[in-house]
Amino acid sequence: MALLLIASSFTAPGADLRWDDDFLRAERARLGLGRRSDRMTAAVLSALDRLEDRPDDAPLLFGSMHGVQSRITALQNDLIDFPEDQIGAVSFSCSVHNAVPGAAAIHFGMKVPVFSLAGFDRLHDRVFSLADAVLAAGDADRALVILSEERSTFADRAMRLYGLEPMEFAAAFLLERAGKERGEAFRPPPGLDYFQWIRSLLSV
Amino acid sequence: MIRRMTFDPVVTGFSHLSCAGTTDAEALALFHGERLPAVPRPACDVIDSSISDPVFCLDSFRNAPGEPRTLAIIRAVVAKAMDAAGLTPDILRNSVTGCAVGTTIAHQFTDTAYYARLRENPDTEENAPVELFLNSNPTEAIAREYNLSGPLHTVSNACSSGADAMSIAALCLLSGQCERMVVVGADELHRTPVAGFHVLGVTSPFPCRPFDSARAGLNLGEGAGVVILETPECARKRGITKPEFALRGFGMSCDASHITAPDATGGGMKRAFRDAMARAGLAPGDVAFINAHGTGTVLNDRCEAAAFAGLAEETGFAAPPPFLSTKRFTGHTLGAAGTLEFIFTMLMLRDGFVPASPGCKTPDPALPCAPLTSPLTLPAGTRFAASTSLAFGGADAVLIAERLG
Repeated sequence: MALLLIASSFTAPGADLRWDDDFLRAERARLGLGRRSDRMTAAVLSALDRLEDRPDDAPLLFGSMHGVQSRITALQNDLIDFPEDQIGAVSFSCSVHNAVPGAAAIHFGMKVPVFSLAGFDRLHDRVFSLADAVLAAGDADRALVILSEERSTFADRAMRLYGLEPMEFAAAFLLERAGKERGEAFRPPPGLDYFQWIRSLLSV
Repeated sequence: MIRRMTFDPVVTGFSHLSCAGTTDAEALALFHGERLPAVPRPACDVIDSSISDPVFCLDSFRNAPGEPRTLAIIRAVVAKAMDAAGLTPDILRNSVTGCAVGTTIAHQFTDTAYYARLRENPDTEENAPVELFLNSNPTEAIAREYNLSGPLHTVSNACSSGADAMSIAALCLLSGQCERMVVVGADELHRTPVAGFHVLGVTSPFPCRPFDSARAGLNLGEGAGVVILETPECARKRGITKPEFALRGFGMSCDASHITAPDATGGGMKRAFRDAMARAGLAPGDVAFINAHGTGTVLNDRCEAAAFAGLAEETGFAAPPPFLSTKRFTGHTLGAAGTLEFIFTMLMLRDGFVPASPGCKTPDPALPCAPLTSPLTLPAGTRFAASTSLAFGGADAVLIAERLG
């Protein structure tokens, strides 16, 4: 993999490893987000908005193990509480895995290819690997990678069973293809995968 | 700037499972009208749901108790595709093969009964359903089963997931990350999308009729399509010198306009089409036909018809390529649709025959162009056809199939 990091920004969690709801509320107001914006969408859009030199023509690659948990939990609560299956339309449409990058594309007017990846086994490394493939194929000069996880009772349990400490974060990376004269390629320090490295960057 | 691809990934095997059939012969018999389409059944009769919208269910497919249904479907179809491609454990061990799975259900934990127990008692010590879920990610499960050492990607771009898995596989091959990709699009019928599409008011109480003036919405379905894509060099090395099909081009875009509704002007679909054409080195007029997403909703039909008509106009063609939707044969299989319909597109190219768009008797006069209302016999040597997908999040995807000489 030969990626060059151009810029990055984060929506970091607080000491309890969750996003601060007051911060998210303020970001929703600052960005003019509607009532449909959930916690993960607000956190991701906040990170993207603060990303230096954010282009509007770079392919968008989104990776999340468990997706937008507030929507998924609301959807499941509806299915539990309403046996006639009258679930909330917004909960359903905004619970799909690509809803968050879709919302980002709408907000920033990005009419670009969007890739939404899921999975568990080194997922965050795989998103960067796909960014490398997109850039290596020569279709784009830059790629935007977004990684995000949101906590919930279910997600916490799943993360712990997978040997990971649950943590909320949103991270945005603007990447180019590294070349011989372009400086050192972007990769986590030896011994860390991208998830561990992001944790270390966030100092949590 | 999108350029002509440096090589076209070749198709060395494929397999499919849907209500259109389990074999090429069954699907072709359906296309020729020698078999009747499956009759969709009320969802509440076939899955755990209280909703009676008609759905296309694989009645004869049985997954083992405790085995996630989508994964079981994927395993069955991947095994057939591996056979069709002549891939043995030895070949897979001695090459860099990756896997890309497009799905909307299989990557998400959807065990509502467990959610209820967890909500009741957040400290429950019951973990088995979560452990099963963590071990059932389809890409990771297939990679373990076949010892795959290449890139592994589970893509969930809603209803374009299957088509996007094809594009991701092509990118992995073009970038040199691997020499072969197992591409899967798959989804099971499930309570969540059945309830979700119902509450959005886009499901039809009747068998769907894409592009028809009397359309009433979509029917959900289940199934899988699997395509083995290889670099031409990789195929040649194992003696496949004349593959029958190639992925000639692909394009992806995002409408950036609405989270569920497609852009009625077809802007995103047109961008995806232009990119696919640029990668393929073709013009829209080179495409013999389009196997459209065609779910049977008003917004889908408007978007695709506007895109097809707009592309014809801007490239100087009098009319867009003939198009059809095969959703009346399968239902909307969500993450499976893009891959499954690419396979149907290849079958039609091989067969030289494109059926009239099933379910469309009187094309909607409000659309700027109409689908095929009578079958089309393709001239000998016809090479190119397109398959299109639309999705929540504003995703648009176009795949170009080529039948090689």
